[in-house]
Amino acid sequence: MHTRLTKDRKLHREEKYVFTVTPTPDGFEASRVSFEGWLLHKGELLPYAEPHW
Amino acid sequence: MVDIDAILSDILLDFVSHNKSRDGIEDELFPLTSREQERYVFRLLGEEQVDGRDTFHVAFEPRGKSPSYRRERAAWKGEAFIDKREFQPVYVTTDMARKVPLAIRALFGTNLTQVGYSLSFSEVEDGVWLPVSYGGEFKVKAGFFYNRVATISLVNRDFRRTEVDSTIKFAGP
Repeated sequence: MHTRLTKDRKLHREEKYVFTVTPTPDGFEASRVSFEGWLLHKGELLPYAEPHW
Repeated sequence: MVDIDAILSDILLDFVSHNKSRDGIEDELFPLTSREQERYVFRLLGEEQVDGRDTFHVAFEPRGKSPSYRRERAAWKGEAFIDKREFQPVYVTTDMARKVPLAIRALFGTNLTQVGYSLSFSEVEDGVWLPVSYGGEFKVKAGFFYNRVATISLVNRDFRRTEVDSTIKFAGP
């Protein structure tokens, strides 16, 4: 899954998740395989490794 | 200080990880479930090919003269392409007709508009249909200072049947 937050077309936050999804009798369970995030801070896009930095 | 961006990102994640639904998509977002259908009016626009499949091209919108509770819940208008052989949706695209989903509306009030979302399905095995891609976009305003366009895209891939091993043991007499 990929989310992006922008203001005036400028990126402020971006996150990428990969999940493994397993069905259950009630719906499903999702376990996170990987995460990448970037946050605009003082004009620079800084990476972070856990949601949310 | 409250990090509104982080809260919004979390809400976007919740949007497609509704773990009580069969496919992760919240019922409210998708009017083609049997429960949601009665709140909508459907109109056949024609017959078309989508991804090599023969489909019915259908438009839907909230049922205007329904009781108020139904009107309140029916939020979307859009178009759907329904596989003619399997009667399964292949591609659905919507715009907000009346409101935005409750979780986001509760946080941001009315200063939020949905540009639209699209959802495509594929027959991953014989008779097994699952959503393979989802995309949506929102414009969010909170007060004078917060102004964002939020986009979400999701791809489902590498489908596998669940493998289950079971053993039955009988106790001796």
